Amino acid sequence: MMADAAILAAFKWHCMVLGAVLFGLGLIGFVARRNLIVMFLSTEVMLQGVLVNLLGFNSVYPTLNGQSFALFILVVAAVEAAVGLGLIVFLYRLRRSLDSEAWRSMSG
Amino acid sequence: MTSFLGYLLFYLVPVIGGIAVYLAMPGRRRVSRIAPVLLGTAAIGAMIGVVTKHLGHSQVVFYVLAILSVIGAARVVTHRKPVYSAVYFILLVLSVAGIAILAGAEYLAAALVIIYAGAILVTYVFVIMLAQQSMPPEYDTQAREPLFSVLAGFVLIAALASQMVTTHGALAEAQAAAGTAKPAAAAGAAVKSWSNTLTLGTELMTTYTVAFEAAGVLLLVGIIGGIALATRRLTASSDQTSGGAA
Amino acid sequence: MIPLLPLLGTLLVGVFLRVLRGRAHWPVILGVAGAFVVSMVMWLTGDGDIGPREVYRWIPTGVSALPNDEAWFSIGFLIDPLTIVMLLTVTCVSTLVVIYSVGYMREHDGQPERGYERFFAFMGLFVFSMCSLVLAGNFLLLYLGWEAVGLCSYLLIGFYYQRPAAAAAAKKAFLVNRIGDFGFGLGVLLIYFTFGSLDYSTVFEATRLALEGNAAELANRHIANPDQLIYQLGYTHRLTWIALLLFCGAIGKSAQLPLYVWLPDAMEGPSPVSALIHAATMVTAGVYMVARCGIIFAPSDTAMTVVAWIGGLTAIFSATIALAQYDLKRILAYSTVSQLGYMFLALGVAAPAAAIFHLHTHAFFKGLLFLAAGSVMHAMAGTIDIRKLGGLSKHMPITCMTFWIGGLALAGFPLLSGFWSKDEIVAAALHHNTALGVIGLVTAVMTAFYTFRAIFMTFHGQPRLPEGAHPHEQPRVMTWPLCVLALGAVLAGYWNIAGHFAHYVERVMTVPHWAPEEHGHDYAVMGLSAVLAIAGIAAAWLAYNKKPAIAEGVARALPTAYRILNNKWYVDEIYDACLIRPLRGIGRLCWRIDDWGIDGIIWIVTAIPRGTAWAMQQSVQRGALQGYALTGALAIAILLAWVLAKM
Repeated sequence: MMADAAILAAFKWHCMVLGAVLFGLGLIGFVARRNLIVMFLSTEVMLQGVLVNLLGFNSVYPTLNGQSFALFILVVAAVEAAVGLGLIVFLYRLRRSLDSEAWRSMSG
Repeated sequence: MTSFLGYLLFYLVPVIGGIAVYLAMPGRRRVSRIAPVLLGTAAIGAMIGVVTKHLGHSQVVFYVLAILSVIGAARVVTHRKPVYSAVYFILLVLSVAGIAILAGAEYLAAALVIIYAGAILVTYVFVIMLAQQSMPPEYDTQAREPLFSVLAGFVLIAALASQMVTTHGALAEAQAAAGTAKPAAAAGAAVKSWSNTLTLGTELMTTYTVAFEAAGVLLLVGIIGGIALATRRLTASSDQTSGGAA
Repeated sequence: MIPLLPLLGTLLVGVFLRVLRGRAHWPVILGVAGAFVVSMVMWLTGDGDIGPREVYRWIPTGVSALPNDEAWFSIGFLIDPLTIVMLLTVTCVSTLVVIYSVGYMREHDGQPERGYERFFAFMGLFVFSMCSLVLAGNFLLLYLGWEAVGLCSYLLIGFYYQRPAAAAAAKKAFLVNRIGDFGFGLGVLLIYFTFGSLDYSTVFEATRLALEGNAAELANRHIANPDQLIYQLGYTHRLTWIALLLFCGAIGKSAQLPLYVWLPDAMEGPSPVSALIHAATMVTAGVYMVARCGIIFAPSDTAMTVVAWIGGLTAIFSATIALAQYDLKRILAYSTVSQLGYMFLALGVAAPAAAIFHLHTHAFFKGLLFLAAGSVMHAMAGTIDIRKLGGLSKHMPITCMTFWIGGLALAGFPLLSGFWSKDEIVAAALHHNTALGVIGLVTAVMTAFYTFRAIFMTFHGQPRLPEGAHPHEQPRVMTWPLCVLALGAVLAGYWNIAGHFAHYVERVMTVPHWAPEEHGHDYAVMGLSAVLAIAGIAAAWLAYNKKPAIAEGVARALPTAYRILNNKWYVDEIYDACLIRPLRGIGRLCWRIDDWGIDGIIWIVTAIPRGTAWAMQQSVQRGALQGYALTGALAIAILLAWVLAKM
C-alpha cells in the first residue's frame, strides 16, 4: 500500500495529528459530561486516538510493534469496558441515577 | 511571512474548533443549532489545509476517514442522548478501522470492528437501556464546566499538533540526509508475501508470548470480576452517604 | 581507683534494682567501705606523697606551649596529704552513714521504705562524686565533681519527691548552688585564660614562680608569655578576681552568707543525707577548694579579707537564727552553716590547717548529731519539733548519750575534738584581727547555748510527747555507727597533739603570705573558750531544764527580736520579694511576648498559605472526581503547551 515514501511520512504525521485531536475530544468528554456511561465512552474515544497514533508509527517501521501494542490495548479496553460497566450498573443500583454528581464523598 | 500566517492559522484552528465544541455541549441554553456545525466544519477544513500544507499530502481516503472520525468523536462527546453517543462511537470505530487498513493492519481493523463495535458497544447499549429514565434527566442535558473542559482539551490539542508541525521541519531534513532506508526495509518485510494476520499471529506467539499470556490472564480476571460484581448483593450498610459539598 | 569503688556499687544497685530490693545496701556499703580501706592503706603506706598522677587523657585542646605535644584536659588525680585527710574523712563518715541508713530507711515494721534501692544508688553516686572532687588533680575534674555532688544533693534532698516541700527544697538547693557555680565556672575559665592550663601543679607552680618574678623558670615549665603572667599576677588584680570568683562557688556550695538559704530547707531530705552531705562532706567541698587553692588566695589581701569576714559574719548570723528555731534538724542545719563560717574564717586569717582540722572534727560530731537526730525522728515517727519532745533520755539512752557527746564537741567542751579545733581557729582569728576573734568567741557562746537548748528540750524535762508516740531505742545497725562516730568525736581532736596534724597538712600549703605561724597552743585562748562553752551550757540548762519559765519570759520580753530570729531574719522573704518575684515577672513577660508576639507574627505569616488553601479547597475540592480530573487535565495541558513553546 505504501508506495510513496513521501505519502508514507505524511501518513505518519497525519495519524499523529488525528490521534491528538481524538484524544483531546475524548478528554473533553470525560471531564464535561455528567452521565457515567458517556464519561466511560469518552475514555474509549481517547483510546481510539491512541490507537490511531500507534498505527501511524507502525506504518513507517518494519516491525510489528505498533500493531501488537494496539492489539493489547484493545484487549485491555475490552476488559476495562466489561468491568467498568459492571461497576456502573452497581453504582446505578445504589443511587438509582447515572449522575456522576451523586458521588461526592471526597470533598474537603 | 507565509509561514507565520500559516502558524497563526494553525493556532486559530483549535480556537475555532473549541468554540464549536463548546457551543455544541449540552447546556441550559442553546445558542443555535447551526453555529457549532458551521464552526466545526470551518475548523476541520482549516485544520486539513494547515496540516497538508506543512506535513504533506496523504491519501484521499485517509482524509475522508479522518473527517468521519472527528465528527463521530465530537458527537459522542456532545450529544444529549447517550444512545446516540454510542452510535456515533460506532462511527468512530469504523473510521479508525478504515485507517487501520490504510496502515496495513488488516487484522487490527477486523478486530476493532468485531470487538468494539460488535461486543463492547452492544454492552454499552444494553447498560444504557437498563438505566433508562422516561424523560431525559438533568444530568444528560447539562455539562459540567464546559468552558474549562474545552479549554483543557483544545490547549492540549494545540500544543501537541503545533509541536508536530515545528518538529516536522527538522526531521524532514534529517530524513532527507539519511536517505530512504526505512521504506526499503518495509518493502523487504512485505516481500515475504505473508498476510498481515499471519505475521501478526507469528509475532504474538514468538516475540510477545509473555504479553500474550498475560493478556489472557487479564481477560480471565475480567471475567471473574464481572461475575463477582454481578452476584453481589446490595445491603443497607453498603449504602454510602454522599459527601456534603455545597 | 578510689572513687570507682562506690561508683561500682551504685551501678550494681542501679542495674539490679528489682533483684536486690531489700538487700540493695550491700553493693554500696561494700563500695564505700572499700574506698575507706584503700584510703587507709594509702595513708599508712606513706603513699600520701604520690603527687600528681594522670589517669586518662580526655579532651584534646589542641593548643599547647609544649613543643611537639598536644595539650590535653586529662582526668588526673593529685594525691597529697590534704587529699588523704579529706579522703579519710569522707570515706569514714560515709561508710558509717551508709551503714546507719540500712536501719533508717525502713518503716517501723522493718520493711524497707519505698525507694530503698534508689537511695543507696544515689548515696553511692554521691560518694563517688565527692571522692572525685577531692582527688582531682585539675580544675576541670574539680568542677565536674563539684557539679556532681550538687546533682546528688538535689537527688537526695528531693528523695521524697512526692512531698511538695521536698521537691521545692531540692530545687532551691540546686538553683542557689548554681548561682555560686556560675562564679566558680567563671573563675575556672579565668584560670585557664591566665595560665593556659587547668592542672593544679602547673597553675600553682606558675603562680609561685610568677610572684617571685622568675621568668626563666616559668619558661622552663613551658608557660607561654612568662613576662605577661608575671605582670598579670603581680601588678593587676587578676589573682584577686580569680580568688573571688572561686570563692563564689564556695559561698554557694558551703552555704555562706548570701547563699546559705538552701541548707536549712535541705533538711527535707532523710537524716542520713543531712548527715553525710550537709554536715560532713559536700558542704565542706568549698572549704577544701579554698584550702587547696591557697596559693591563689593568700597573696591577695582583698580575697582573704572577704573570705574571713564572710565566714565570721555567717557564723554569728546563723547562730542567732538557731537560737529561736524549733525544728531539731533546722537547728543543726544553722549550726552547720555557723561552723562552716568558722572554717572560712580560719582560711581567711591564714590558718588553713586549723580550717581543715575543724573540718575533720566537725565531720565527726556534726555527722553524729544528725544521725542521732535522725534516730529521734525515726523513733518519733517523723516528729522533730522540739516543743513536742522531751524526756527522751529514758527511752533512748544510747541516742541520748551520743547526742550529748556530739553536742559537747560542738559546743567546744574542753578535751573533746571540737574544743581543740575551734580553739585553733579562735586563736588565729584573735591574732589577726580582734573584731573577728570577738565574733568567734560570741558565736562560740551562742553555739553552746542553742545546742544544749535543743538537747535539754529533747531529752530531758517533762515529756510533751504527742498522743500515741512510743519512742524506743533504735536497732543496733543504727546505734553502732552512732557510737563509732561518738568515739571519733572524742578522739579526733588528738590528731593535733604537738601539732602533728597541722604539720602533716601544711606540707601542702607552704605558700608565701601563708606561712603557718608557729604559735604553740595559746593557753589563754583555750581557757577563755572553755569557760565560755561551759557558761553557755550552764545558761541553757538554767533556761530550759531548771526553770523553763525563763525562756518564755525572755521570749515575751523581746517579742520583736524573737520574731525576727524565729523567722530567720526574713531572709527568704526578702529574697522572694527582691529577686524571685521580679524574675518570675520577667519570665512571664517573655512568655507573653513569645505567645502573642512571635506566635502572632507566625499566625499572620501563615495566614497567606492558610487562606490560599482554604480558597482552593472551597473552589476546587468539591468532591467530584471529574472536577479533579479536569483540574489535572487543565494543568497538564497548560504545562505541556508552555514547555513545548519554550523549546
